[in-house]
This record gives sequence, structure tokens and C-alpha cells, in this order.
Amino acid sequence: MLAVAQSRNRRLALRGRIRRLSIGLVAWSCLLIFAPSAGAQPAVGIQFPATPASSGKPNSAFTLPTQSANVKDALDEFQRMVKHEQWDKAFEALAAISEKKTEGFIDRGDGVLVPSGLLVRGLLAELPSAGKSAYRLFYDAEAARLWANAVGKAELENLSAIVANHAISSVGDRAADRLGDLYFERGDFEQAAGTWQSILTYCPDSKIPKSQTLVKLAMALARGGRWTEFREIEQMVGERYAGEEVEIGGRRVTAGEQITELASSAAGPDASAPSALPDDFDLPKQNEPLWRFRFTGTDGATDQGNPFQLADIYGRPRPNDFVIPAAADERRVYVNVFGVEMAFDLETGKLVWRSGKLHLLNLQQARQGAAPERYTMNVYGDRTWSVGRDPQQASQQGPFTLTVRDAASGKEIFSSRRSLSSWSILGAPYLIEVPVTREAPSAGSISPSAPRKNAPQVGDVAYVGAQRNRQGRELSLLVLNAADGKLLKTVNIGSYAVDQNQIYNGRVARPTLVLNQDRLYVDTHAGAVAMIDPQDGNIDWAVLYESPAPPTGYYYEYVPPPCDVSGPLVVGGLIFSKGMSSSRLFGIAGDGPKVAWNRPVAESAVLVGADDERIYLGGEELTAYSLKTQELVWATRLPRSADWSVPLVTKNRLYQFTSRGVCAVDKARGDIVGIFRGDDLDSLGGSMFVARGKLVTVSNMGITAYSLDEPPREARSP
Amino acid sequence: MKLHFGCTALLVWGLLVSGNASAQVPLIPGMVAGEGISVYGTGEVAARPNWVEIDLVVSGKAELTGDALVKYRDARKRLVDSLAKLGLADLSTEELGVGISAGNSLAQQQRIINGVPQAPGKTQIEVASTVRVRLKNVREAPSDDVVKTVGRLIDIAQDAGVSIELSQAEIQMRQRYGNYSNQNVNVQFVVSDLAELREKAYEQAVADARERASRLAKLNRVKLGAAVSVQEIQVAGDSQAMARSNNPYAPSPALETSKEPRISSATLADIPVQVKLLVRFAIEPADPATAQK
Repeated sequence: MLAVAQSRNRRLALRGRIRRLSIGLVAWSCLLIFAPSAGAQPAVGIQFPATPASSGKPNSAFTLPTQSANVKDALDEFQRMVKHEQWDKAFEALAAISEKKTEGFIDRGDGVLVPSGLLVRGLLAELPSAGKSAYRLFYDAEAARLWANAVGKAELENLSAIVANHAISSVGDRAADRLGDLYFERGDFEQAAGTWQSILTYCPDSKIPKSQTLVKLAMALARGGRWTEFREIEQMVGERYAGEEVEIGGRRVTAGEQITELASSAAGPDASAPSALPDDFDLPKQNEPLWRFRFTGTDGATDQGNPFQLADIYGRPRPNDFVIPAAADERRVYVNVFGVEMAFDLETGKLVWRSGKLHLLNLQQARQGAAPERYTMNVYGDRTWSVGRDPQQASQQGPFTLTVRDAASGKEIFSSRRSLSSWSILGAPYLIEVPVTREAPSAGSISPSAPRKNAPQVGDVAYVGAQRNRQGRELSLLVLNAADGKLLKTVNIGSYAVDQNQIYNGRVARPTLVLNQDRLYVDTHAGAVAMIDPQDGNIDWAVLYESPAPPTGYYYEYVPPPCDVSGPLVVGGLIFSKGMSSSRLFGIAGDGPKVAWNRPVAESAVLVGADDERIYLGGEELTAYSLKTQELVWATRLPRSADWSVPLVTKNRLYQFTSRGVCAVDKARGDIVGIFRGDDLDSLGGSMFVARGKLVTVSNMGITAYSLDEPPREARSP
Repeated sequence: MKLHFGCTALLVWGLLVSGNASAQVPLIPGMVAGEGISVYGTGEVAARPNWVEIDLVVSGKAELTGDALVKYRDARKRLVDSLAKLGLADLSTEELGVGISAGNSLAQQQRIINGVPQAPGKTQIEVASTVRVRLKNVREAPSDDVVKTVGRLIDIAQDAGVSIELSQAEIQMRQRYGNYSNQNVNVQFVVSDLAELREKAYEQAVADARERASRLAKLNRVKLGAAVSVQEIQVAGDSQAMARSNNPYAPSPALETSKEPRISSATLADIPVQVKLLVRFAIEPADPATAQK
């Protein structure tokens, strides 16, 4: 019996082999048949795509508030009824959505989260002609009523209602045109551009000349600094409507002339333009420093390679690659060493002030999960803004606080420890200049104009990420009066997938912010970028990007990959984001919003800067990507550096403080044009500053100042 | 009882047969049983290395193959350009083949090994090659100068971004496979002009063999005849087996591009060029006249 079974098995196996062989032969034959066509491709020199095809919804570790299930059900119902051309029921479903005043978002399907109103408009625009006619039959009367009453105080509200809910009605285009004018007059160029764009998108049958809408849109884009999108409009107008007359501000001009005039203003100030970057400087020739302050003692009692003796979750000495937050101005260098802040005189290196006793560091350093990356140090004018834990508190879950000090004396001006004790600060503060000066800002009067780079004025506001104590998953933005630290507003952004207080073996995701024209962009560094209206704190939209959640299961041999937060960066009208743990470089156009870049880069890469031609990334290697083609132009691997060793960007150079000194790299080709060894070769590098003809390097071993033989031009000039 | 007797007989026969068989196998590899006197002859000539070779690994790793190629291209270019700037006449570089591999990141591999659940990661493409940096004509140079120059070359390689030390993840990964080395650079001191040296060693080996055989003949009161067979047992430079390395876990030697015999060592010292031969001499029959006497 057994023999029979074995014989059967052998036969089956033989058949299987024959079948596999047959399949193999067929496949091989196919290969041979199709090989000539494949062989027609060039064997070498094949161009690789810079960006792979999108793979749908990204794997994000951040959640924004989403719409209730009822809204999603109503959307499904709408789409089903449209298929069956049951217009009345379809529009009933839409009405149900419009009536709900929820603040959640709906995933558009490509990782972009938009308000439900925006999605509804898109769905209506995609209706077939019969559907649009039916819609007008149902809703034209309502839209006409709103249009007729759109005067005085009700004008903005009524027009917004028409554009939001009845964009495809017979008055939808006119309402959008007028609403765009209103936004433009108010200086809200983002909204103006979006509203005029809606005429092109949702009202293809509009009687408003397309050239006029395009020129208006170009105006809003130009004033909003969105030059990449402006160039597209410029090209379109130049090709099709250059000679057409349009009415702008009550005067008749040709579309081509108006666009040319707008294009000439493109040479205005742009943070990413080379002219805005500091001048190059020659590296020092003498390794001998002007002064040096060592964090570690010189008696040999402390391990030179690990001066702070941090412990990991298993109690083992932790690799000494943590951040020493530092800042510098024209007089002093400031550091925040685990909550003990210190200021050093730039000329002499003498300790000017300190906020605590250095021996208290032992308490902080011995803690498991000390999260050194959560400490920050910034200086704005005559004040230092630092984030840290009280060095004397012993709780492993102790809150991080924002402390503002007088830069000269170290005297505390205000601290969130007192006024916002229920919040734990997450990330560095971001100060925004507000043009309305001499008046204290209130919750309803925040009208930012530019990021604050110098001393804050009355009326400036500070945005900083925060979590409620013991609510380590949530992320909010606190809007503070920069003068006294009073809370003006709280903006809820969303939730992290992992409690940020429970990350012991990796880096905590801290939000980073950037202001572009009248909108604030927040990168959560866990898989989402959100655009926020800083005036009312509303999130206009959010884009999810690939960012896996940090591992929550720990094991003894785990070595966390290097990573750090950076950006967002505004370049040519695009918002560039590189999430801390993400392997994607994201470029988002505000219009839509549209994902213009979704490019694989190294997970450890950080945004460094940009110019007219390239965007530069740091990390384990320096890389430059073409802004036009998205291709990798060059890559330069420098000697090993600390994770937080972010290069300085000047007009033609990138400078990075590495374990083998400060390297100067040519931005055009990536060649290393010089290395300055310096006096701090025991460290892995770190941050660096150039101020008053001095090069200051800050590593986790100490602070070192060198004299620049050839200071930058701006520093040399009187 | 009969069966027991039969088994014992078989066993005895087997032992006898196996004993005969083992007698056929020469105890010394290469030795062929036969008449005459078989001896080893060894010749050794010490030589100071005349080249230094440093094998440096340049690579580019990225999710997109195009990016990996650009990174690799630039890494190699920066290394070669930096070395060329030195302007050393005796310095040359040679690329020893390019390899392309695909796999997980080190961090991901660690998680897999430790059984940590995870989502599938992005495959990384790595393009890598070994660039052999060769410094010639170092035989006459003082040792200090040679070592200093080698150090300078390694410094330049590091400044050009070539990774000399391993990352913590790489060290852990090596340790998992029993490799506790933390070195990533292979420096070899090479004797490349081996032909003449080997001739001398051969001559010495032949002379040594004849001397040994003569001694045996004399002791056995026979007359040594002509050599009837010669076999090379070991010849320096025929294989890297002669290379001496202090680091058993050093990266595998790169592919040899030269067909010329060479010998190398990990240390800057005189390297023995050794030749070992197995020679069988005939025993001349005794002179009948002498025998009668």
C-alpha cells in the first residue's frame, strides 16, 4: 500500500516537474520572442525616474481629526445616487453634508486631507451635464437669493456660501470672482488664489473671460510668492491670451502686459534666493582657537568620549550623539545643556551667566529616556527662548517648559512653568512678526507678515508645539504673546500614533514650523504637514506622507537609526517637508493642495537649504536635488558627523562641522573645497555659527571659537 | 557457532585488506611510492615589499537605483580626485569591479533578527566597488616615511567620505556572524617583483634537496643517482595562502587583477619568499667490481 502511495507521489512529482518545465519553456520562449523589442531599448544610459509612481495613501504615524461616519456615509450615498441619476436623492445627501458644521477632514484618497466642503465642490464639478442641469434646477433659486443679498456685511458670508455649496450654480462663477476680489483686498492672497482657481476648476462654462481669471490668479500667486505656479499661468497666458484685454482694478490692460509686469516683481525678497543667503567665508588657517570651553573636566575623571554619561532604557551608557542646543548673536553664545542654560562672551569665552548648577546635570543625565533632543535654544534680539526640563525635578515624565530670559543677564522674563503648567512643550518656538505694532495682540487680531529674525516687537506672537501633561499622543499649537508669554489661542493639530513620552530608544518627533506669506505650515514629523490660517487657527488642509511609527517593542541590540527634525522649507512657492523618520522628500503646492514632489531620499536626510536651482539635504551625506527635474545632482559623503550636525548654507558653499573638522563644500558640484581641522577633533561635530568675524563650533565636548582670517563680506563691512 | 566463525573470518579478512589498502596510500602528500631517495628541499629568500596597496570600498545606497548610481559615481570620483591632487608619481588607483545588491536597511535587518514585528520596508539598492590604491617603489624608502604616506592616504580617503570605521549597526551585524573586527580597510604590503626572487629560492630548494639526499645516501652507503622526479609542494606567490594577516576578519581580499606572481603581508616587514620541493633521486646500482671486493 505504501509502495503504491509512493509510486503515485513520484508520478505526481514527475508531472509537477514536467508542468514546471513546460511553464519554464513557455516563459523562456516568450522571453526569446519579446527579447528583440526589449533589445531595442538602449542597453546603457537608461534614464531612471526621479520619482516613483505614487502608491496611494501613505503609511503615516499621525492622525488629524476626521469627519464622522455620517458624513462619509452621505458621501457614499451621493456617489451611488449619481450613478443611478437619482439627482434629488444625490443632492439630499450633499445637503446633509453641508448642514454639518464639523471640523474634521476627509481623505481625498491620495493622502491629502481636505475639508468636506472642498471635496463636495469637486464632486459637483465632476457631475455630468444632466447632473449639473438638475443641480441648477434644484439650487439656482437658493444661490440667486444669496447672490441678491450679498451686500454690506452679508456680502462675504453669502459669497462664501455660494462658492462653498453652489459653485456650479448659474451665479457660482460671479460669486467666486467677487469673493476673490474681497480676499485680495483684505490681503488674503492664499484664499484669493484658491477662490479664483475654483472658477477655472468648477465653472468651465463661465462667461467671465478666462484670460481675466488667469490674470487675477497670477496676481494672487505673485503677491503670495508662489512663483512656481505663477510661471505656469504666465506660460499659459503667453501662449493663448497674451493680446486679450482684461479689466484689473477698473482699468483695461492686455493680459500679456499685466503678466509681464507681475513677473518683473519676482525679483523681490525671497528667503531661498541666493541673494538672501549669507556670504561665503574662508575657513580659518590656524587650528589654535581663540577660546574653548570644555563640557568635560580636564582631570581625566570623565570619559572624554562620553562626557554626560547618558543611560539607555537598559541602564547602559548611551552613545554620545545627543544634541547640545545652541544659539549665537553678535555678543554671546548660548547653550542649553539638559536644562542648565549658559551664556558665554563671544570675545573672551567667559561664562556670562548660567541658569543652574552644573552638578545637577548628573540627575538628568542618569535618567533613562532623557530625550535630549527635546531641549532647544533660540535667541531673538535681546531674549533667549529655551525649552527644557527643570534640572531638579526627578520625574521621568516631567513636563518640558518654555523659558524666556534676558540675553544679557539671564534673568527670567516668563516661563510656561508658571503660566502654562498643564502643558509640556514640544519643539522649538517660532516667532512671527506682526505688523500691527504698539498694540498687544488679541486672539482675534493676529495678522502675521513674516518670521521674526530679530528682537520681538510689541504685537509679535510665538507659536510652539505642546502636549497636555500625560497626553503624550496629542499635538497642539500654543499661540503666545511674545512680550509676556500669555496664551492667545490653542490650535489642536491631531494625534501621534505613539505616545511621545514613551519613546526611550529613538528620537521624539517635534513639530517644526514655517510661515509663508499669510499661512503657517506645520510639519509634525510623524507623517503630516498642515497649513494653518494663523489668524483664526483653522487648518485649511493637511497632507499625509510616509512616516512609519517608531518601534514600540524594544530589544537589547536595537540601534536607533540617525534622524533629526528640519524644515519645512519654502522654495519657489512649494512647501518642502522631510519628516524625521520618513524616507520621502515632499513638495506641496498650496493650490489644491497638490503633491508636486514625493521623492525617495535617505531616511536620515534633513532639509538644509535651497537656491534657485537646487534643494540641499544633509544627514549622513550631503545631497543636492534639481528643482526642475527632481533628479539627484550630486552626493557627497563627508566624514562622520553627529546626527544634529546641520550645515551652514551660504551663497556658494555648504559648511559642515564633522568629526574631522569643518568641511566646506561647493554647492554647484558637491566637491570638498576645504577642511579646517580645528581643535575639537574628539567630538563627532555639531552646530556652528559665524558671528563678528569668528567661527564658533559647538559639540557635545565643548564650545570653541576661532578667528576668521577673512571674515564674510557683510561682517567686514562697517 | 558457524555463523560466529564466519563473521570473525570476514572481519579478519577485512582488516587484512584494509591494511593492504592503507599501505598503498603515501603518508606524505605528493609522495609517490617507488625506488630511490625522496626528500624535501626548501629555499627561502626574504624580500622587502615594493608596493603598498589599500583597498577602499566606495558605495552608494538609495531606494532608487538611479540615486544609488549617482552616489556611487560621486563617491568614487571624489576619492580618485582627492588622491590625484597629491601628485604622487608612484600612486595609482584601480577599480576592482562593481557590484549591485539589494536588501533591507541595517536597522530593519536588526529588527528582523530580533523578531520584532514590522511593516515591510523599502528595498535599498547598493552599488559598490573596491578601489585599490597602489603606491609603488617603496622598497628603498624608510619605513617611517612609508607608514606616514599610508596614513596620509587613509586620511585623504576619510576626508573624501570613505568610511573607515563601521557604524554601530554594522558592528552589531558583524558580531552576530562571529566577526568581531571593527576594521573596514585592508592595507597590504606587496612584493610584486617575485620572479627573480623565486629563481633564487628554487636554486636554494634544489641544492637543499640534493644535500639532504646525499646525506641519506651516505648514511645508507648507497650512491646517489640523478633526480627522477620533482614536485612543487609550496611556491610563494602562487596563491594568497602565503599572505600573512594579523586580522582574520579583514574584508576579503579583492579580486587579483594581475596574473604576475606576487606575495603580500599586512605588516611592513621582510616577507619570506619560499619554495618547497619534493625530489626523488635514483640510487645507482652498486659497481660489480666494488661488490666483488
